Amino acid sequence: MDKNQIIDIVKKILAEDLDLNISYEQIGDEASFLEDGLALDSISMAEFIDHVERRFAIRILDEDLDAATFKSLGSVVSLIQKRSADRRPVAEAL
Amino acid sequence: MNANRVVGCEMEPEAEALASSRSVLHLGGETATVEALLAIGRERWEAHQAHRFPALLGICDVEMLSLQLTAIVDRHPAMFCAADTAPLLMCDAYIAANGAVNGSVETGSHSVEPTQWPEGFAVLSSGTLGAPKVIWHRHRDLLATGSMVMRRLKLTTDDRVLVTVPLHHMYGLGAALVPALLASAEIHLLPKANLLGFNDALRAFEPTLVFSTPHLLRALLRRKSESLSACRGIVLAGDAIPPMLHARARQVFNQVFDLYGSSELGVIALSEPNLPQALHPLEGVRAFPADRNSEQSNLIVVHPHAATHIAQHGAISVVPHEWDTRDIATFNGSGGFSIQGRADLSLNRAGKLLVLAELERTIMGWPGVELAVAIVLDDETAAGKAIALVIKPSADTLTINALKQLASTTLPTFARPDRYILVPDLPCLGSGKPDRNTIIKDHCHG
Repeated sequence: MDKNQIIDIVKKILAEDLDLNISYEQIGDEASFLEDGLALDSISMAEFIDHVERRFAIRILDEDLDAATFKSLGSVVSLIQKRSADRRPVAEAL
Repeated sequence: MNANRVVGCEMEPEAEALASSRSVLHLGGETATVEALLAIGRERWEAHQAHRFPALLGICDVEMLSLQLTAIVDRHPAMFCAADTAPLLMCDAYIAANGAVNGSVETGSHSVEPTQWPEGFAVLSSGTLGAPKVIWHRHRDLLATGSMVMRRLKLTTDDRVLVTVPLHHMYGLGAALVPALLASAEIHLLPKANLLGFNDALRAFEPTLVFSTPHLLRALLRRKSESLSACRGIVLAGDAIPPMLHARARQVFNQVFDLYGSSELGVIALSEPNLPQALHPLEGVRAFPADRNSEQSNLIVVHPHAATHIAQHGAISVVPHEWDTRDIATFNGSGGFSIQGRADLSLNRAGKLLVLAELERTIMGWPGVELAVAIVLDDETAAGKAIALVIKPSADTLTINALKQLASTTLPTFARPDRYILVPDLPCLGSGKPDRNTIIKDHCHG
């Protein structure tokens, strides 16, 4: 899955699956998840991570949960790509 | 500037102790000592001399914190409330972060003169269980209770205290911030904590004691399982915690202290570490059942440092000496008690009292259940009103048949739900608690 496809899915999660009162078109490609942007609270953030894990079949780890990772949509996409790559060797081995 | 002066009056011992605190506080990327905060706060209060009862809207930066601490030490009348609180007629100014002051509600426009307000500071209850209330506390009572909490939690200057709850509530202020200040502990404040900020602070600040809520903890513990070696415990207040979550919290934070209190009384009781069923009242606090002949009964509390007045529906009343918490408690032989749930969220089934919170707690301990909310339906059954359990699963494999099977083997007949509803998400309030009104509206008719 390329970067643009991941961005599209993440924007759909934010616009359609969470109660953020924001539309797909309002979410920029470098939108921040923190106070200076989408400002996801603890409940929304937990729900967002659940959706991402389910949609991309990946596991977000404790070490991923920091403000730097969620500073922008771009850095979240990088994390999804990284965790997807981590998963691949296991899947191939099976 | 002398940090320990009070204009026009002598400082009380607890206020003196707070003003002399050697705590270093971290908030919003800034670090300050108590002395520095009081210096900033006193300068800023000079600018608000004309305001007789200002509201501090959200304590989320160093300037707002300086105003709040100065109000407590120097006994300024003020209301502490959330940043998005709607204007209240009784406040003549609204002071927000970044120095913004909204004085559009002028002094003199009130139906009751501000000089008639009770002394002290006020907090606004969340109103999740009814109409919002304004609750007045005397500054010295806040400090006296804080001192008792400090002793009970054995807080010392060596502690590093992480506070992940808002400072305009009695939990964040009276149970966490004030005791930590009185102990001269180092303090990291995250009044608008989310999962990321919480996790960042656990790593960077390495707290010895954490104050948090079950909903934030639940989100964290889904991904965190390693023990924090520097941490001696987490203090939790709010909804009762399912045993499984309690066990996972112990694994990560090493000890769990359950705290019980309210906006009206402040901190009432604390558990011994890892013993959630044994809440013990603070010194001088009396807790007893309304009905001494019943195993479960409304909890009555006499608190020497309770709030003095409550304003609700436009009227001010004095807080009664014996306060009915409207929580149902069970007492053990050693004077401790445990909270089963709200009295107004319980019902009689087949002649027995069923506390919905207790049922929810049990079901949230079942495999595959993430969250459970019990609602009373209009339908009648042989046992009484029918009950539905609205459940957010943690695993896709959870089925209604599996739930029925678990109920039949683990719950007494009168407590078995009549219906189960599986939902992908449960609506929540800003506090993280389930939005019962919306859940009832969505599901009470099936």
